[in-house]
Amino acid sequence: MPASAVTNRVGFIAVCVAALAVVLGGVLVLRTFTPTDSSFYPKCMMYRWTGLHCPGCGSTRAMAALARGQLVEAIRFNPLLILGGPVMLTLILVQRGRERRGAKAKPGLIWCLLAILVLYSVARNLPSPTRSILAPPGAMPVRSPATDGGAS
Amino acid sequence: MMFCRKCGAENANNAPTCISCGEPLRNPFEPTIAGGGPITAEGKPPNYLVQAILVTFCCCLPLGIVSIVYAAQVDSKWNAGDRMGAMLASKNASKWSWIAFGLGVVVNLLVIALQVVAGVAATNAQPGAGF
Repeated sequence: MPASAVTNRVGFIAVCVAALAVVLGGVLVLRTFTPTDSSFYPKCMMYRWTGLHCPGCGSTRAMAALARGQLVEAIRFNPLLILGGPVMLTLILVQRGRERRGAKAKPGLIWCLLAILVLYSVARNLPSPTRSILAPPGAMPVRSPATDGGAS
Repeated sequence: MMFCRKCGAENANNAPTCISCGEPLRNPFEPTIAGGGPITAEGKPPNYLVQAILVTFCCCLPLGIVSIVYAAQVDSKWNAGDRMGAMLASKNASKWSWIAFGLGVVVNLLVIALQVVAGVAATNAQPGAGF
């Protein structure tokens, strides 16, 4: 086996281990600390300053819901990220693989993605930023003994 | 002479591949292959699409959109035979992704700093909290 192949394999394994560590760490942090208005997670400045929901709004809460195994809640917080994200990722990787094997670039895919993002941004704020079905439905439910079995 | 796009090594003008890293070399000013034929994605500059999508979702919608437009332009211009334009769009896609990322980090840190200052001020303003 040539030296470069060994280096590549070591690099690949290192990337995989790092990715696994990031995912596990992320799940742990998201499960331990619920994203709220006053939590330390980064906030969307666009929402803070304009009150409009961008395509990424609700991502933290969606990932936190996912980390707790609540798939439906995750989809409610950001449907495009949870449902469309894996599709986008697959399309990009498949296209990259095809290009590496000598296929033509497909700019149409990227223009499509751009159109979807713009339409999604508009739809999330119609008829109003808080009443759109695509907008994140507010705060993450805090599950604690005090609130479980309550009126909500 | 020319320089390798990947590793920056100096190569002879007519070298087919880089003497240092083996990257295929092509003159960016060279016009599209005469006689047409499908332009493959071989040698196409990176479009930084993943980075552009990440910054769009994570922090800065308007600047992320700018990066995605440049990412799309890389592929569009490359397919149209505009190598120079594709390379320029590639540089811009990378640049705007970084600007969006940097701005997102700086603004978030600033807001956290402001919150801490405001929190300290509020604590000090409470009667009996200060000595």
